[in-house]
Amino acid sequence: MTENENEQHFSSDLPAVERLEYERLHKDYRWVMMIRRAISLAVTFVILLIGSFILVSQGYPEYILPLFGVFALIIIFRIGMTFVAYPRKGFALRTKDVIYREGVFYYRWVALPYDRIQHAEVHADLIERIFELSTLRIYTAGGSSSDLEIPGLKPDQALRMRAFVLKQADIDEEE
Amino acid sequence: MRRNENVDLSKPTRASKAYIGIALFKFVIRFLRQIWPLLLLYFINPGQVTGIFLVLSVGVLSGISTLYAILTYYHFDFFIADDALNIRSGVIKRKEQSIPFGRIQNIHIEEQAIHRLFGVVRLKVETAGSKEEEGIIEALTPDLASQIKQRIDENHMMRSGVADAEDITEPEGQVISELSISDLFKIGITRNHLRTALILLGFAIGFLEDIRDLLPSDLTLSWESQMDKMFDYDPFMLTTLFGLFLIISMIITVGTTFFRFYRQRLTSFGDRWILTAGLIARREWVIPVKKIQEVSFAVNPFQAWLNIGEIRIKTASSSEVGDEQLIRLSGVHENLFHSLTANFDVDAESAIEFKPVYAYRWRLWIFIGMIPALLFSFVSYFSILTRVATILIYLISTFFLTGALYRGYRMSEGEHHLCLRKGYGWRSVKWTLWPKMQAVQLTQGIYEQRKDYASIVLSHGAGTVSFPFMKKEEVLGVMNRGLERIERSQADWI
Repeated sequence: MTENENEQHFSSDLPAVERLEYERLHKDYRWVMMIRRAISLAVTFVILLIGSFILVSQGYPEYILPLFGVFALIIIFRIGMTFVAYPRKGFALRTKDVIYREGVFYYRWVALPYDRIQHAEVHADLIERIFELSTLRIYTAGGSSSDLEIPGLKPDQALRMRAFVLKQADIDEEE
Repeated sequence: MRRNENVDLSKPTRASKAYIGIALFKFVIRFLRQIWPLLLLYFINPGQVTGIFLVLSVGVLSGISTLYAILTYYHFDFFIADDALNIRSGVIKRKEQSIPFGRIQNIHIEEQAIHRLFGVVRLKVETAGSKEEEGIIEALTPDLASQIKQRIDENHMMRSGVADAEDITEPEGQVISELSISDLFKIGITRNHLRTALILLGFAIGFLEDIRDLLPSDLTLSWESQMDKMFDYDPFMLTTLFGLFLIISMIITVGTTFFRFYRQRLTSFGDRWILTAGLIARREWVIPVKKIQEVSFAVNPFQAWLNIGEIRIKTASSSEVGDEQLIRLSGVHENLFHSLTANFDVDAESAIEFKPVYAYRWRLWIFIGMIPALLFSFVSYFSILTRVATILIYLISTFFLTGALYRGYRMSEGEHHLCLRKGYGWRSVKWTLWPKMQAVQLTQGIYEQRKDYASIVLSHGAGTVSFPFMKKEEVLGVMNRGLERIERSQADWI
């Protein structure tokens, strides 16, 4: 932009993070979330099973029903939460930064300027590979507190996003 | 002064002959560290090992270690070639390091007691990225060390385009702060004595068992019963003992303070600051001003009373990990902190002030006052009257305390900087620059979401700063402006 251009800027037009359209993660990511939770719940279930055997052998069978009742409630809650959590997850790519939001009870909203990025990688674990999804990881310098992960992307989409992010980062550096 | 001016650094050079002594010393120390339990065993129960065996093993070991030290000396050399510092070392396993000047972040010149003894220094080169220790030249004459350092510095200057010849040859440092003996004493008494006391207590308990095993049993028996009596019947004795304990730990902390902070001095050389401190092991920290991520000032109530505090400088991580990233400047007045930070920000005057919403005060009281009180009310060991009285006193005192805590929270947002204050009694002021930020975060708990409040978390190269419970639109405003500042800035951020 040259000095001569002197258009009016309305303050309402200035970039603002609250007026963004967020792109949703891929629908299949709900299944990934659900399977991940199911696995952790299955581990808890095994522990619970061992615990209930101990209870029976010690002569307290009356505690088993409420124990599993509570566990069933937790299962319903955790699995149900994936449906609530999914629409809260979203990302937005802007010219100079990438934004990701998530969380139901603890809402978190992160913006990462491109010219602070060290490198970016596309990653997929076993469950993600079953649904042909991948995760974009963006790393910054220093501590890991500011690293960003955008899950639930189609592999080609993730690669294109990675290329875009790195390109923007490079351009900003050269200026 | 410069006797070694004519040393040609491009040819392989050996360290000072003192390296033999230092290598021997290190070897012996490492060896002793391995076998000290055995030695202890020998002194406690000498009957099992014959004298000849001992003399023989000591003789053989000292022979081997001396030989090893001499070999270490002859197998170590370094030279500068192709703008890189090359170090070759290792007797059995050869190691050749080549550290390009461009990758060098910091150069430390250190002196430990053993170095002082031989009149040499240790040169340590830190590089970006690698977490391993690398580039250590153990024994150098001070002249040679400064010569090498100068070579590396010159190269850096040329790279960054500041090739001012006079600047390079005689960098005239400007002393920013220097500790006097009275300041040193102040630091000593305001340090955390409780920690020393706890460590001391741990030692005492640990050794008590050992000592008792060595003493004849009838003596320990009477001693034990006396101890029991004392603890049972004499509160006066107990208080005295506790007082004595505190005094001992105080003396220890004051002593260690003397060793650690003796002649602490911060000097500015333009684009870098150098901090030196220590009595026997005099250490030097080089702080490149560009790498500073966060400067904070912390005070505890005793320090506030004596009008001193501690400046903590966080730099972007270099090869050394953990605490080294945090550089402490103790026993300084708050004015120094303000004048240091004022260097970076010209328009600090125009800063906007924020504070948490008033609901945060109640939240603090709920978590510090009400929940612990509620838990205590279930403890049935005490009588109802005691419980009610304790809970009332606790609730009232925490009510005032949380009020003071709440009033301590302040965030000021400037065009270039961000400053966060928190705490009451144990106060801290954190100060950081917008261009250093790497990520901007907004977080909301359940309560915050319902009331449309939010907290802000900002990450820089050496950690995060955060501020709780502001109105959401305020947070969004700070974020929008902050992101704009970060993205606009062309400054080096780490």
